[in-house]
Amino acid sequence: MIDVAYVNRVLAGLDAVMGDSVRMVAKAGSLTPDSIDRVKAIYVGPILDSQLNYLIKDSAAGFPGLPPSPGNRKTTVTSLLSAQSKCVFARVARDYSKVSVDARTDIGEQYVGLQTLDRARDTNNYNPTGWTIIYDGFQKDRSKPPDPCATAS
Amino acid sequence: MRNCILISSILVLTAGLNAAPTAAIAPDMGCIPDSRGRVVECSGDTTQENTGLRPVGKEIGSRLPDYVVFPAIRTNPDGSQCLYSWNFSYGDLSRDLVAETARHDWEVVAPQYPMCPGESSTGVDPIVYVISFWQDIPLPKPAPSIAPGWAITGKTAYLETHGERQHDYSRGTPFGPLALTATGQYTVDWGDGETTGPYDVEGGAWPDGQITHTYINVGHYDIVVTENWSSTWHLGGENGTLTGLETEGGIDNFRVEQIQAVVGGG
Repeated sequence: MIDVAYVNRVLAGLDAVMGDSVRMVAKAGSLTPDSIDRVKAIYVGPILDSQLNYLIKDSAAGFPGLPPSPGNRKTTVTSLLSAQSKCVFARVARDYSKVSVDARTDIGEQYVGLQTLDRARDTNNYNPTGWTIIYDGFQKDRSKPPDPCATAS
Repeated sequence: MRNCILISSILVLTAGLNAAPTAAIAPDMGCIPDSRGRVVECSGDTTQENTGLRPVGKEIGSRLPDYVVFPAIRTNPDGSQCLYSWNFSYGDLSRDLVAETARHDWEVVAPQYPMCPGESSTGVDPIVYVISFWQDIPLPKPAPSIAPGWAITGKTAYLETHGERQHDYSRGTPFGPLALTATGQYTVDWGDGETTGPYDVEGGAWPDGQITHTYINVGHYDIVVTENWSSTWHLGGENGTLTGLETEGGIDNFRVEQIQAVVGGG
C-alpha cells in the first residue's frame, strides 16, 4: 500500500543515495563515476541534468557550507497528492541541516514526483527503493505544479 | 611530433568546469533546489544561488577547480601502451591555456590509444564530458539592429537579430563522437520597461520582421537581446537535453524621436 509512511521510507532511501554521492565527491575532491552513477540511479529526465550540474558546481566550489560530518537531507511528506502503483506525487518538506550549515531558509514546501525505477539505469543497485525522482522542486508562484504522474509513461 | 608527445604525457581531459554555468532548468520544470538546499534555480531565470558561482554569459563563475584532467600514456611491460587520466594542478599557469591543451589531447591524442584496464573506474562519465563541453562551446551571439538606426514614437520598430538560432557542434571524445545541436530563443528587453519573447524566429526588417515594438515616449534606450540556448546531445548510445546557457547582444542608447506635424501658414 502506497501511503505516507511508505513514501517517507522511499524518500529516506533516495536521500541517503544522494547523501552518499555528495560525501563521495566531497571526499575525493572531484567527481567520480560512482558518485555520478548514484545520481543517475535516483533521478531521471531533465531533473537529472540539473542535479548533475549542481553537483559539478558544488564540487568546483569545494562544497561550501558542508558540515564536518555530513549526513543526509531529510524529506518528509506533508501531503500525498496522488499515489499510483507506478507513480507518486507528493508535497514535501525538507530538512537540510545535516548537509548544509547555510541552507536557504526561503525554499519552503516542495514537490516530489516519483516513478518506478528502470533497473537498467542502476546496474550497480545503488538505489534500494525501486523508485526514481522525475520531479523535484516547486513553482515560482508557489502554486501546485502539474502532476508529473499525469504525463509519466 | 615532439610537442605532441610532450603534450600527450600530460593531457587531457575533462574537466571543463571553467565556466560554471547557470542552471540547466528545462522549460516547465519550475524551480529546482540542489540537494543541499543552498541553490535554487528556476526555468527562465538566472541563478539565485549563494555559492559564489554566477551565471555564464553575462558573468562567469569565479570559483574554479584548481586542476584539469589530462590523458596520459602508460607503457606496459609487454611494450603496449594505454591511456589513463590524471589531474593536473595548473598552479600559476593560465587555466584556459591548460584546458585548451587538454582538450586538444583528448581529441587528437587520446583516441589513438585504448584505455588502460581498470581506468574506466577513474575516468570521467560521458555525461560529465557532455556537460563540460556544453559549458565550453562558443555559442553564437545576436548582433541586433533596428533600421534606420532610430525609431519614432507610435511607429513600429523592427528589430533585426543578426544571430543564429541553431548550430551543430561535434567533437571526438574518448567515448566516441559527441554531437550537439544547440537551439536558441530570443527575448528582448526594449529598455522602456517592456520585455517580449521568447521568439523562435530571427528578427527581420520591415515589413516582414516578427520582432517588433512600439515606443511611447521619446528618449534613449538600452536594448538587450538575450538568446537562451538548449541543446540535444548524443554520445556513445546515450542522449539527452541540456539547457541554461545564454548569450546576448544589445543596442546601447537607442534613440527614439517624435515627429511633429508643422502646419504652414498661407
